[in-house]
Amino acid sequence: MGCGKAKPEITKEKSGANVSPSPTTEAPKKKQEPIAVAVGPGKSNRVEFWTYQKLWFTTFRADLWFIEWQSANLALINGKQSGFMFKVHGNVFERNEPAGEFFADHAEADMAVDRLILDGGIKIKSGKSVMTAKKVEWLAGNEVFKASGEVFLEGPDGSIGPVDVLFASAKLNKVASSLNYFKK
Amino acid sequence: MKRFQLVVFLGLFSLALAQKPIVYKDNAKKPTMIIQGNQGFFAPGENFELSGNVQIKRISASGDLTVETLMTCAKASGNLVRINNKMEVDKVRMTGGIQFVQKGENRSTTASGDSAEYDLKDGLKEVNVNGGVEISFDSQSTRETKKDGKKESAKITSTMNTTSRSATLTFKSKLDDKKREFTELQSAVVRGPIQFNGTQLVKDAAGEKLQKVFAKADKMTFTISGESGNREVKLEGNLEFKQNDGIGEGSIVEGANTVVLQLNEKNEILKLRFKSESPNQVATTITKINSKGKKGGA
Repeated sequence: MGCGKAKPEITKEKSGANVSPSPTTEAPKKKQEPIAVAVGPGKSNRVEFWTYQKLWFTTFRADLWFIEWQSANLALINGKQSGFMFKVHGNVFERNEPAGEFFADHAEADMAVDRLILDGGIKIKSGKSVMTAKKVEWLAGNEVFKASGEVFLEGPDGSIGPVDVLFASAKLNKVASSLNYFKK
Repeated sequence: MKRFQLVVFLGLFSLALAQKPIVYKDNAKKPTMIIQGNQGFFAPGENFELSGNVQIKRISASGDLTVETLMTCAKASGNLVRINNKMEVDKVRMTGGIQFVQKGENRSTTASGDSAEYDLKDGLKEVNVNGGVEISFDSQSTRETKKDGKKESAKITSTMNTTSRSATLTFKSKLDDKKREFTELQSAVVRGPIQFNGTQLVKDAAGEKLQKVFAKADKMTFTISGESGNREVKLEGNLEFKQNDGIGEGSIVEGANTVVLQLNEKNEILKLRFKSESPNQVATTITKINSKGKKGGA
């Protein structure tokens, strides 16, 4: 995603591709009003498309996350999907490759700002590394997890924590006390 | 407004104090290495960068949590790599009031300075300390004495210390009888001008007594070699050498440019060998020292 920084020449298009919820209730009133949907088991890919004008309008695809849920309350606001999901499992991506795998009791996805927030019974796995915390936020733009509350990470090369706040890469192989260490 | 600023400052200050440091352990349940700091970055298997109350600890593998090596400083960065199936730090650059402590079974080495580098070289661990360097080589032992015809034993700490501008300490990993790994000082090169303080063990008809030795030189080399751990200190360049028995008599050695001190395992000086650039230059002056410790008559 590093090459997507020449903003004036880029057009972004975000989509929740492959969404396959099974709606149980629907309450649309007006077209511009949020649409709330309670759904059963489902899954969704969060994908972002980048178009470069300088490269003859070539379009690039960036996978942000994939999530599966047992039940959810989804909201569609101006065509963008957000919502609360329960008993979730999924993947985050680093340079379009599946990197970290997550499990949690609840998840909140805000696709307008590319954030996925996990809460309760959290386990993040990558290879033999496992991270646990009270709350984890996936910052898709930085490809970094922000974990908070009794954060503990254990892997084949050692352990980190417990600590109040920890930023970790998708593969859990780099951790820091601040997001700035990932911006260097 | 000022009160509000003070409240905000105190709030942030207490928050900073309450925040847990970021701590790395090579093994969560039975660590042999612990690295921590207030802020920082870890990529185990690659590198690390820390600031604020940085501590790098190597703990005895025997499970008794005895600290073997402790490095403290304000800022540190280096490699955190797996060597011989064990996590090690290498090429560590430390700044801001550094302190290095290495403890053995009955002896310890302490070094402090403004900055330091810690490297692994050919199986040895090397520490380079710079800027206002103070090094202390301590040895703990039990000495038996006779008082009113009764034998008494007392724990004694013998200290040999130096102040200088820079120093290089080299440590070697060894295995004890139970095949447990421990680290021991192998050599120390101290570059000056240096000041040296040591203790000399003097045997005479009255028995054994300890006397203080003071020296100034351009360079000191302390080596521990052989299976039995022969200890030798070499002081060279612009040498000034004084002995003081602590009860009023001392000697000044002049004309020598090098002295080699042979030590026992408690770092007490057993033998002295002076060298000069030409023969018959070394002269010893016995001096009386008055009650304030100043040099008296010849």
